[in-house]
Amino acid sequence: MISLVEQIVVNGVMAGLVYTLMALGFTLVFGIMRMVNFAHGELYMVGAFAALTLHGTLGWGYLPSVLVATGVAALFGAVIERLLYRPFVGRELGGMIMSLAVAITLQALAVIAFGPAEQSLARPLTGAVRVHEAVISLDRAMVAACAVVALVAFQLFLRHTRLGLAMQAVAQDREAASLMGVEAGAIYVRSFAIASALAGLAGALMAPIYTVAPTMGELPMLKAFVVVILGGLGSVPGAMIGGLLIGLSESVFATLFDTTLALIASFVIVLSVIVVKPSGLWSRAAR
Amino acid sequence: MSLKVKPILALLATSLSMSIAAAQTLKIGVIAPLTGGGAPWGLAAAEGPRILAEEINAKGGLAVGAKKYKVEVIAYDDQYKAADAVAAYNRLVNQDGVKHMIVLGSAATMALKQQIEDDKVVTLTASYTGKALDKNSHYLFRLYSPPDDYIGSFVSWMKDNVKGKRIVIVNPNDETGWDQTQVATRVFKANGFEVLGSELFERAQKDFQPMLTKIIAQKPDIIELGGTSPATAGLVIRQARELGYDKLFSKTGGAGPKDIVASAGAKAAEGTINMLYADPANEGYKRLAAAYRKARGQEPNEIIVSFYDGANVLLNAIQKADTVDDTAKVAAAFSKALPMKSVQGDELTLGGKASYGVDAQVMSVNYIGTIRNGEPVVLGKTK
Repeated sequence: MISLVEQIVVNGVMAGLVYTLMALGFTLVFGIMRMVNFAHGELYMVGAFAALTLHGTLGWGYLPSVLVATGVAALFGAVIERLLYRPFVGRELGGMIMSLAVAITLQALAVIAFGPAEQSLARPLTGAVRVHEAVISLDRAMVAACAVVALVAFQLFLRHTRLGLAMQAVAQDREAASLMGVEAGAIYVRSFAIASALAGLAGALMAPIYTVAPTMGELPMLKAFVVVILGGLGSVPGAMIGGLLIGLSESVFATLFDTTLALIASFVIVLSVIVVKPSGLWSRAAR
Repeated sequence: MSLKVKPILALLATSLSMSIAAAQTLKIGVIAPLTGGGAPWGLAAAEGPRILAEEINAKGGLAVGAKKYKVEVIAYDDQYKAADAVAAYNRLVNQDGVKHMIVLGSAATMALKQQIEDDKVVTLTASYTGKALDKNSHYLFRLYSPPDDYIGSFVSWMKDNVKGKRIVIVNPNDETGWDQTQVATRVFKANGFEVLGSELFERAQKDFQPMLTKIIAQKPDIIELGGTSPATAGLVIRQARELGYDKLFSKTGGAGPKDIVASAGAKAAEGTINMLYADPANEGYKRLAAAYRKARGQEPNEIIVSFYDGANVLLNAIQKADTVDDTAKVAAAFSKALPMKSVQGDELTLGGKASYGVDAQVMSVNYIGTIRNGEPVVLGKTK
């Protein structure tokens, strides 16, 4: 017999960690480039299809496939930023429209390359483990563990590496950072690559858990957007708190009531926070 | 002109007119989800008629009166959304000049219902909703028996063959899902099942653990998956097994057992009772499946038989009406086109008056199956 309360918490934390991974890249791009990247969900999709191709079609091991898929998504992101997004830095509306165009194009290319049908990827782990009164599936536990490692690594990177500090400097004040010798263009492409890598990693990790399809990035994109608005655009701690909050609230409402109410509840929470604190829970002052 | 030249000229003129007529095209439109969760059904909706069209064109085209027509199928993606279906319809009718079409989803059908009658476009729908057909349906037909018609005998079979009567019904949160939940709740209760509750989910959803945590806490013997798309049904089954659910799944609508097994795994899906549109061992189905594999490089959802048969009924009605342009005559000719044999050899008849006030439904035969070792196995037929 599973305990309802413990299972709700486990489900919520698992979902929240994945939302956080998605939201982190999204908020990073906004924080540094002041751009809302609506193609973020499609980079999640790119990671998933790369994992499907490497692990599912070519027979590579799962973890090497995930690592390479993350790299593929990073490369996609770097190319997209350099060729398509760079002209729109500081021009939020133009950047949004370009990102919408990129999203539609990437989806269409995926349909052409892989077909429209949902595809399944063999799971690296099967079965579940009981932790006290709750059940945790092993593959989700692995995803949660990878997400935690990625989040910790990312925080350490931001605080303790030259590139991480340079990224924070550009996010705070691009002109001042430039005067200090930090070249904004180089920061943008690297930041975008890291953000894309985070989305691609989430996609590659979730590919065996769900199904893989060209439209699979739409819902994670929506969740990432909600999480980032809640946590504060450009705020990394905010994305973490927001992700877990949304994951837990969805789990509570979906289990005690229904899925539709859970969706409504997420938006009610976000709207309530924005009314009281328009910049989000953990907003950062930035120019 | 000499006597020898006249017959030659007449022969040349006839050949020329026949070749010109053979170059004429009869366009059949298809509006279906070609991407997303409903894609297995949508692709079947596009390919079933296309395979039939290829067979007919290979034999010289569709003979309507003295003319022969090349049959062309034009399919547009509505992603199971009403707004996209309306856009696809407008494109088919206004730009492509289509007068005959097939529409898959209930939301799409309800959005287009009035437009179809106003524009006099002969349309076959695969929608499940009971609201699709009524006394005012002159141009809209349903191409198979929906759950309203077959679920009675399906659930009656379950009553006699399945242990445990506590059931939770799960469906997508749209027109199809609401309808199926209503119908299933009524029919299961009438057959002595205890309906513990029902759950609706968004079609794009992949994480079902919170919903399943709630369902499993109610201790059901059966989780009924209704109109859930096959790959999604597989996810639900797998996630439920991971949470410790070890009882039965049933799926009274829109099968796709191979897609269920692909995403659930054979072990998790073992024993799932589902409605099948086709008997996998049937020669007619095997021929269709082979043609689909050649075109798409993957296995079809077996609902393809319904779309093949539906297109066949439509083309037969066009032939009986002796016109491709007068859609009123084509609609009236459905009663002459049926009864006819399905691709699997079952009899298709025209019916629906008792339920909808109009004979506008192709009454088809469905199969009751189970999943054994990852493969669908037929256990019976619905009446």
